[in-house]
Amino acid sequence: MVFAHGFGCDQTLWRFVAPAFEADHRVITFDYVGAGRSDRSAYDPERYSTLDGYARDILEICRALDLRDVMVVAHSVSAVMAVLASIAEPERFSELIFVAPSPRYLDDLPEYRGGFAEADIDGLIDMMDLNAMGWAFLAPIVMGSPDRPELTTGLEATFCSIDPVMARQFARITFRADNRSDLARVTTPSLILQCTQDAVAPVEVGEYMHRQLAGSTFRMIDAICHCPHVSHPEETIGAIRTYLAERQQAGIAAAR
Amino acid sequence: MNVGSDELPGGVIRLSEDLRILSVNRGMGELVGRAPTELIGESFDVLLSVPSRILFQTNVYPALRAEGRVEEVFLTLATAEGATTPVLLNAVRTAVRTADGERGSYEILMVRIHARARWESELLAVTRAIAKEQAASQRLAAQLATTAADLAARFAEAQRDRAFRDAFVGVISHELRTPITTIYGMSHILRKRHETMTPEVVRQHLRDIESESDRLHRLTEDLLVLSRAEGGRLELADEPVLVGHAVNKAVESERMRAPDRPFLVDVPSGLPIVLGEQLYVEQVVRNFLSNAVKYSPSATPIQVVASVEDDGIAVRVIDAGPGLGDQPPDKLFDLFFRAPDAVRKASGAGIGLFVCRTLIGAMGGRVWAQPAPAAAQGAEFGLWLPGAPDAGLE
Repeated sequence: MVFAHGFGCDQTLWRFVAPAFEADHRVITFDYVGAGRSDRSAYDPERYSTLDGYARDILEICRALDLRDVMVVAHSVSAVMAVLASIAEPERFSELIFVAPSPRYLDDLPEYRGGFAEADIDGLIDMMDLNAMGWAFLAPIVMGSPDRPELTTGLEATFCSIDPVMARQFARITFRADNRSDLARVTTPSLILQCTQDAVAPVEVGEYMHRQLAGSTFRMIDAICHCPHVSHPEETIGAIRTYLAERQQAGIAAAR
Repeated sequence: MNVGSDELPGGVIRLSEDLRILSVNRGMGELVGRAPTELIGESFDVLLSVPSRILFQTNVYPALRAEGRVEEVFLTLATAEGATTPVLLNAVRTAVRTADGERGSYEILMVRIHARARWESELLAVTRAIAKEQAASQRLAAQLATTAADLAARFAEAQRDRAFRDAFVGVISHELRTPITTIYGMSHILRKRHETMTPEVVRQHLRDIESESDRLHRLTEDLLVLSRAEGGRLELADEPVLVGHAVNKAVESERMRAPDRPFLVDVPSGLPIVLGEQLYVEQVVRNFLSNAVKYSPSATPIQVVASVEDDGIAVRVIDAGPGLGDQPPDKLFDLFFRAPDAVRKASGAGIGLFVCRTLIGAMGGRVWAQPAPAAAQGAEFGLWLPGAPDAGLE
């Protein structure tokens, strides 16, 4: 099981959920390049200017560890990375488990309501910049002095550390991406876990994904907001376990 | 809410585990322009602007759940009038043990930062403008570097062109002028004095005129190939070429020029067909032959051997002259190159072998120079052309 974190944090957010599966699965959590403790020098602005660049992170990890029958548990925008990875190498993946996923965050009215308008995204990026105010000034200096790594250590020590410059870029591509058309190309079975009161991935978006993804299962879980794996780990673990048990049953029945 | 919180200069708010508003102070109501009582029971989201909802749900709330507290988060609140209020938020989560586990709640403190936010927004705008300027000047610098490199390349090309023109003019003035002078001189003498000349002397002069005309003709042919190759206009036909035939024709024409020279020709029948232009193959072999005649002692034989090699045809012209000298053999095929020994021995333009390499290369083959095989001295000049796929034999 490969756990892929979403926008806003790093792999540490999976710490309430991932260990529950260690008894039955090989559990792998990772940071996308730019997040957590990933090697910042591996950040290539060109590659990470599209979600496809991040999808390649998943594929490269699978290849490097020679993983097969991979279940990807993907939070939020990572669902898109998992979709793209499974389209690229369908034989490698056995299940896609989406937690609060969205294929497009912006509205495309009248036929699609993602939840946001362009101005909201601009506002978000302003807010991120203002929260990383010190960084807005320091970044050019820090970026320009690789010989002074101590300038970045303070940042890495904090919770959910993500380089503000890379975070802003990640936000920009995440919230402007449109991967709706990729959904029809997925052949791997999938589970969609949908929360209530999710301001980032509303229920209509989860239902839309369910309609577009062949072989998908849709489950509402008793959790609020956008990060059930942090706020409601027990419910999240339970929902994944139930689904995997059902899939196993179905597999046994089919084999008979 | 504790006694006195209504007097606090800022918003205080308490949320249930599922982020419903349990209580607010008066200051909180003022921040969003609503009466505190009407906020009770509402979802916390309704207080936030849309971008703040994303930031709260993706960053603040997970941090609060995982770490128990967040500090100094910049957010904007949505007011009842549709405006926004910038605030700094601190929050802690407190949990109480209950019979069925744990129940948490959140205490949140917000301070309006109107003036500060304005300054910071302006600072941010300036920072972004500077970053944009920097990016623009970097792009400009990159463009300038590209332009400079481009200019340098064009300058080098112009210099090469000039060097080529200089060498070309030098060759023309010498190699064309010599035969023309001879032809002009001989015909002048013949016109003026042929009546007093013996038939033998007349014949000798006519032979000289013929041989110099032939030299001019060949040079012109090489120059034609050269000018086309330099202009990138050397396009060869893809016709079937009978190499044996071309070799024999070249030998015949060379025999006429050097009737006393023994030519030992070994062209087997059944050579594969190659693709290219017959006349050009002939021109190359003739160039090899005339070099051999020019640079080897007059009584020594010249060997011409054609053979099947590597799915193609090799033609070798082998003389018993002084050999190749010290320079690398490949250099002999460079334009305007003339080996020091060659310069002493005979006149020449340094064009012929370059033309040979150009023509054979254009037909997909290769040329070479090497010491003559199994001989104490002498040189071998060779060419190889690939056999045409699925073509028959000569």
